[in-house]
Amino acid sequence: MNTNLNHIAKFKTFSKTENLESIRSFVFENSTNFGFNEYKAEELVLAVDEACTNLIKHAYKYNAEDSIIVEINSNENIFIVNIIDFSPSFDPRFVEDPDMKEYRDEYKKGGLGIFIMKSLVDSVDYQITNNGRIKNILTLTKQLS
Amino acid sequence: MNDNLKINSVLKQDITCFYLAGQLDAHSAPLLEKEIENVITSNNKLVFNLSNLDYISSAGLGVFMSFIQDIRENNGDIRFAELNEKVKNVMDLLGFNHIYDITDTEQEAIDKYSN
Repeated sequence: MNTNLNHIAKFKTFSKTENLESIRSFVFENSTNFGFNEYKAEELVLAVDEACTNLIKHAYKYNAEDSIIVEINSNENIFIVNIIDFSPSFDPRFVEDPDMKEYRDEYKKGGLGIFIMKSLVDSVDYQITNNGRIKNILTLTKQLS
Repeated sequence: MNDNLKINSVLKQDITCFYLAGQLDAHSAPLLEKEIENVITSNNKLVFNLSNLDYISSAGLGVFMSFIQDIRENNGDIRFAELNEKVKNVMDLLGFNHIYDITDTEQEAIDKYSN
């Protein structure tokens, strides 16, 4: 699948909630340039925000010296976002979807970011490399229809 | 800090109307949490006018979820009005329309408290 991979853009920032806004702008600009309408671009923006929010809160535990890299590639009409971090690994694919009825009935708070993320993109993939330093790559894809 | 969200509140009869403008995300959520904490010590009938809210993520929605049970147990409520389409889409995705009263206008939300 990676034979025609085109690199589009890369954004590196520190793991702080105040940087979420610039991550969102970066994703919005690149996804609309790619051809997504505003509605679809906003879905991508929210999915990436949820992934990065999880990283900042849970993987990096608000340590503002850690870094997040958002890298955008494409393969024909598929828009590919890699979210790269260097925290101890956590694979969101295996987080079970929350029971939405239970959540509504019991007023549960939180844990919904991954559900939102998975709902808004076509696929969520995750890989870890470890060459002396752990590197996690969360890949979100969305097809331009 | 937290300059991506502006919060104003106005007391209308015995109902506190919040006006949120900007972006409610993991960065601004703690600010809103504090504002709500301050208000509910004296008043727990709340209306959130979201006409100028451009963006919401699960961190923002989590703020409302963390207060709603206590507020309802004390005969109050959280109601939403005047959502733009973007915010409405996210709320629908999480079934907020099944948990909360969401109205087209702020006045309708206020009126429902007297019914």
